Amino acid sequence: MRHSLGEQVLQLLFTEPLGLSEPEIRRRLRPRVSQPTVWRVLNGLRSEGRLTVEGRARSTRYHGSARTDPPTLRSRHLHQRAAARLAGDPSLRDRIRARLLQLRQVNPHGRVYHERWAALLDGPLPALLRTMTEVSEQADVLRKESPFTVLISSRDRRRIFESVQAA
Amino acid sequence: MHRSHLQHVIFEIGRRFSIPEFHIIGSAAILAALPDPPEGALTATRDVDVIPPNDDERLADRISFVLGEASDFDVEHGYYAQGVTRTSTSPAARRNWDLYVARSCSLDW
Repeated sequence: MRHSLGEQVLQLLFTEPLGLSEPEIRRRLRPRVSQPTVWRVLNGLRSEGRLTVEGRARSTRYHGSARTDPPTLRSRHLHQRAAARLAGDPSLRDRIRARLLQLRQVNPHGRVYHERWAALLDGPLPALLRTMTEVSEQADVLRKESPFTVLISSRDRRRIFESVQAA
Repeated sequence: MHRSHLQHVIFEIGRRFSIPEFHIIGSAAILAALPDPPEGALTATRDVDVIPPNDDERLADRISFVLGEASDFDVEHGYYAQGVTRTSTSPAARRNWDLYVARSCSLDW
């Protein structure tokens, strides 16, 4: 069965955890289609809420929305930034443990997530960093109860929000 | 998350954005119906998914920026609001809509 152009674009996006730019999408489509046609398809998918736009102008990248609604994409970027800080200064784990303690008190229902993060904090750093930045629905859920966002500066946070917007 | 946290988030959204009524979807919405739900996945997370009036995407972004993940509000209180729209949420969230979208929360609650 032949898929519509919109479905083809979505399938391409779902295979790319980091999203694709418009030229990258166009290069991969067969048969080839024109730039205005791809833009029209992307705008249509966006209006249906089926993709998320990241960045602006030439740096714009598109993500399939079944995997990456704007809050999820922001959370991934926030944790990538937090992971970068933690990689540069592993002693920050003490601050994270203190935050985890606060979250345990605020939300005892999240115990299963807190215990997972606590175990990772006590383990090797590479495994922790990998989980913080993993692109998967399971990791997206775990990040919702994450103690790491206290490592994000307001400047970095603003940049991430400016980059990933629903509107 | 506790019901008092949900009430706090609702109050702050109303106060800061001057919107008297909006929808809460996702796992936190169960707290509107059950004041003291049993421990489990439905109340496990500390985020409150909020749909602003008219599905306003810009307002959803503003709510997320001011009260969302890693905001000063989140850092201080340990829970946060996440502005979403009907078209931008994931299939998992949409499944939760089926359960809770009918519950509208207002400041009179």
